[in-house]
Amino acid sequence: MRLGAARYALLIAALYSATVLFNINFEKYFHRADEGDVIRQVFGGMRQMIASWAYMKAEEYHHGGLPFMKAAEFHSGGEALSEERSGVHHECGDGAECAHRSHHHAALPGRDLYAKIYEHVKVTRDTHLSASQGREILPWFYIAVKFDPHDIRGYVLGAYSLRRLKRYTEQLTFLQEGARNNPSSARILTSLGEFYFTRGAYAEAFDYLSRACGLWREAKGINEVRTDYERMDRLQAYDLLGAIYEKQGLRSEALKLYKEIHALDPSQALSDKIVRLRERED
Amino acid sequence: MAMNRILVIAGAVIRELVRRKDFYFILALLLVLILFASSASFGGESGFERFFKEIGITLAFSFSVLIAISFAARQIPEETESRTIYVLLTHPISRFQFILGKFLGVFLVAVISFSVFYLVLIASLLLRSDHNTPALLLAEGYLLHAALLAFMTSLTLLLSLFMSTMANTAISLITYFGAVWFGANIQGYIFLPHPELLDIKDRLVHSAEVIPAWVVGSLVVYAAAYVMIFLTLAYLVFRKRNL
Repeated sequence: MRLGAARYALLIAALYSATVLFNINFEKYFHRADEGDVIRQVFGGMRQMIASWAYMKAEEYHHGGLPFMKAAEFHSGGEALSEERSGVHHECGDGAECAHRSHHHAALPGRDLYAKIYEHVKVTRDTHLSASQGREILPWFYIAVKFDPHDIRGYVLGAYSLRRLKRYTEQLTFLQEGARNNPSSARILTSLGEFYFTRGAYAEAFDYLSRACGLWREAKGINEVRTDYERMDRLQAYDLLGAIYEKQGLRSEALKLYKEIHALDPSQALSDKIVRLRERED
Repeated sequence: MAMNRILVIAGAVIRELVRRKDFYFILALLLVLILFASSASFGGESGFERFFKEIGITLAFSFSVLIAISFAARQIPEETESRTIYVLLTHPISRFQFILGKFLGVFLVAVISFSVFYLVLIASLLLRSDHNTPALLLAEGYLLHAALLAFMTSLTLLLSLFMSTMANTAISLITYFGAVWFGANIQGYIFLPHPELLDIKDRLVHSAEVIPAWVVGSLVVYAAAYVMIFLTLAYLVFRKRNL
């Protein structure tokens, strides 16, 4: 560890560079190269790792500090935020931390001394942040998308967290940035469509949702439906677009959409809508 | 008399901390990073309490472990390479006293560094008017991390009898971070040490619940037992070493 002045200068320069990394618009400087580019593979992979780590931190904060791997024992893949966004959990009110799933994790075998001590020194309870504490989660989403501008999950769930905090302007800015970095992401376009739909801006919502539905229909690459969350997003895009058609009096268009999504994702709610529209058509 | 000899050796290690620039450099690094974390803004907003605490505690913990490991890893190899160990052992100092003196010196160096880092962190929390973490929990965090530093110092000192400074530093750091990050998730881990139990960073960041005294006491005894095991092993190896 004996360092000369030159090495100290180098270290300080490295440190300074590390601190300014957060302020660099990576997308602007990002070297776009072929998939086979070794530099891109190595450094791109590292950035994705940091983004994934930041995402895990966000999940950890969402669970009141319960480590991601422990949270995974309660939720599929630990993605409680995705579940909650999809309406699986109820929203937490203000005040003390929401403890609606406040239980100790069951990973440790038995109740030996290690388990007892572990419970006292680590966070083992799944308590969700209260509404006022919810902002604490935000830095990790910003870090995740800063390091990996193609982290669609980071954009969608970060925007959802902003919505929970009623920060609608930031939510829109965040989603728009996500759409700029990922113009062909059906999930982000669906979120943007939903944003405008809930505000009654149907023209904008129509634009985003029709593009989203087109991409869901193609189901290529990032828009392939693999998880329940993606399935729910696709359903939402079709559902909202159908609702806009209905508002415009275009019932046959709405019916066509509902039938299309019902064939992929049958549900009672959709069946009811289809029946209702058919009756009106008749 | 024996204690005096141990203290002389320990004092030499502490003087090394003052003489070398490692500590000042790491302290400067900590200050810069804490300032950065404090001023970091996300989505046009700043003042995130948990984020700041997470960064500050991680830095204070990791940097003090780095100092403990880097000092412990080089003590015996450097003394051997520079042949000063021969001069030392011509004095009425037993090999056990030598090992104990080195351990005590490095441990104190690590604790002094950690105390400064921790004070910087607490001062910055107070400056930010963050009073969410109870003082008692902060004190428990300090005590348990000091126990972790003793654990890592003794382990690194033991490993320094088998490997080069660089290899030992790397292995000890991997051991520390591996245990803290993944320790509780390794199956069949009951016969191995659990330094991760001495790390209560998540508690400090996310919880305001104070840890019961019996738990802190048990963990300190637990760490002390491992320190004794590692130092005894180090002595047994060093005693047979042909110098």
